[in-house]
Amino acid sequence: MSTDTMDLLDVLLMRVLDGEATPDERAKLLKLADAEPRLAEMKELRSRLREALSDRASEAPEVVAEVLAALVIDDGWAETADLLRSELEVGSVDMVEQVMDSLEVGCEPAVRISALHDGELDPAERVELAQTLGRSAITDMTDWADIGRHLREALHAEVKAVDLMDTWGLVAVRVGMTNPEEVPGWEPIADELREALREAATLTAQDEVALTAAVMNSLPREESIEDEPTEVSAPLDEQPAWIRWASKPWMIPIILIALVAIYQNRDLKEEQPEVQETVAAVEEPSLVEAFVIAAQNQVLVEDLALGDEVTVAVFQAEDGAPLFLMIDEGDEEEATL
Amino acid sequence: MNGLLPLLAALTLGVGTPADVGPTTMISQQHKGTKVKAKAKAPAVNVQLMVVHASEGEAYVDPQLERLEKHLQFLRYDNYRVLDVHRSPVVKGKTTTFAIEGGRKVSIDLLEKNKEEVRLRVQMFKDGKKLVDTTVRVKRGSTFVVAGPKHKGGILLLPITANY
Repeated sequence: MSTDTMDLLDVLLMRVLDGEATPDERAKLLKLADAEPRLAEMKELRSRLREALSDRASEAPEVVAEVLAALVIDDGWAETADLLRSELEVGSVDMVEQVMDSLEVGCEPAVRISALHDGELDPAERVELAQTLGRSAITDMTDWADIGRHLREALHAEVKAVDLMDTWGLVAVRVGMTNPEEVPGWEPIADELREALREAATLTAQDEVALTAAVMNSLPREESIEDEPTEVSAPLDEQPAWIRWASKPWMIPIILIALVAIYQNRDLKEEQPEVQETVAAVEEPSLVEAFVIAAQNQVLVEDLALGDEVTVAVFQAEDGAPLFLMIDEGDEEEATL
Repeated sequence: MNGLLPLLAALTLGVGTPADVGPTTMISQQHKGTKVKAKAKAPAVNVQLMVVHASEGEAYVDPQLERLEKHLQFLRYDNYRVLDVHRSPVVKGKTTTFAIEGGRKVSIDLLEKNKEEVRLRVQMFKDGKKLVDTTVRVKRGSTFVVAGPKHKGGILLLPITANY
C-alpha cells in the first residue's frame, strides 16, 4: 500500500467520522479498507466498519466505538495476559487473584480511593472525593494497603538476593581503572566538601564551653552542699599542759634532771647501734619546688557538686591540655566566660 | 598533760626521747635484743596552687605561665598576671587550705595516691559557703585549672599541680 493510498484512506475516514462523507466516499473507504493488507486479516474490524458505514448512512457513524470494540474482541492480548497471570502466581500467594479481587470492588469509587491513597489526585479532586467518602473508605484504603503489603512480600520472596557491592570493583579493573574509587574531576569538589564538613563539624571554643556547661549542668547532683564546717579553736586563755606544769616552782628541778637524763640517754643510744628505728611519721615529699606545667596533663573529674546558683563548665582545649573547671559564681555580674 | 608524760617516762626509764613518740601509729617489736620501731607513713604529695588574675586590657602573659599560655587563648582576656604561688605538702587525712583573693579559700584533701596518680578532693569556699566540691584524679605531675571567680574586673585562674 502506497503512502498516497494511505493518505486517501485517512482523509476519507476523517470525513466519515465528521459526518461529511458522501455515499461515494463511504464506498470508496470500504473499498480501500478491503484492499489494505494490514486490515485484510482483521475480518471483525472490517465487518464492524462496513456495518457502521452502511447502517446509518445519513448520520455520523460511531466508527471509533465500533473499531475499538473490534480491537478488544481479538487483539491477541488475552493470551499474553494469561501467560502473565501464570507467571505472577508466586508460591502460595496468588497475587493476581488478590489484585483482581480488589479491582472488582472496582468500580470507580475504589479506583479513585486508590488514586487518593497513592497521592495521584489533585487538590480539587481530593476535596470532591472527600465529600463523598463514608467510613467504609477507611476500610477500603486499609484493604488497598494490605494488597500492597502482600505484593511486596510476594515480590521480596521471589527476588534473588544478589550482593552487588563488589561488582564495580571488578568492572573497574576490567576497564583498566587502577583505583575504582577514583572519580576523575571529583577532587576539587571533594576538597570543597571536606572543608565545608570540617567547618560545620568543628565547634568553636565558645560553643564547646557552652555545650560542656549545658551537659554538666544537666547532670543530677548527687549530694547537697553543706556549708563550710565551722572551725573550732581552743579558748585563748587555755594554755598547753606542759606550760602550766612547767610554770610550777617544784617542777624546775625535775625538768633539769630530765634534761640531764635525755642528754645521757642520747649518749647511750650512740653506744647501742643494734637498736634500729624507723621514725618517719609522715611521708614527707621532697622539697617543694616550683612546678613546671607539664606538656601532657591527665586529669579526670570523678565527682562534682555545686553550691546554689553556681555553674561549672568542665572542658579541655585539646588532648594533654590542663583541664579547666570554669566556675560561674552566679551573682548578677556578667558571665565569666 | 600528754606532752609531759614522755618526759617523765624518759626520766624514769632512761630510754627514748619525746621525739620517738608521735601522733602516728607505732609498732614495737622485741626480737633477739633488737628493738625495731616502725611508724606507718602517711601518704603525701606536693601541691602548687598559683593565683592568676585574668583581665582585659594590655596583652600580657606572666612568664611563669609560659606553658599555659597557649591554652588560655580561648578565654576572652588578654592580661594574665600571677598574683601568688602557694606550695605545700598535702598529707592524707589532713586538709590543706589555701587562702586566695576575694575572701575565698581552696581546701585540698589527698584521698588516694599510687605511683601513677592521686585522687584529690578540692573544695572552694567564699564567705563560708561552699561553691564547688569536686574529686579529681590527677596523673602525677599534671595540672588542672580552677577558674572563674571574679576579681577586679576579671577572673581568677587557679592552676593546681600535684607532684611527688
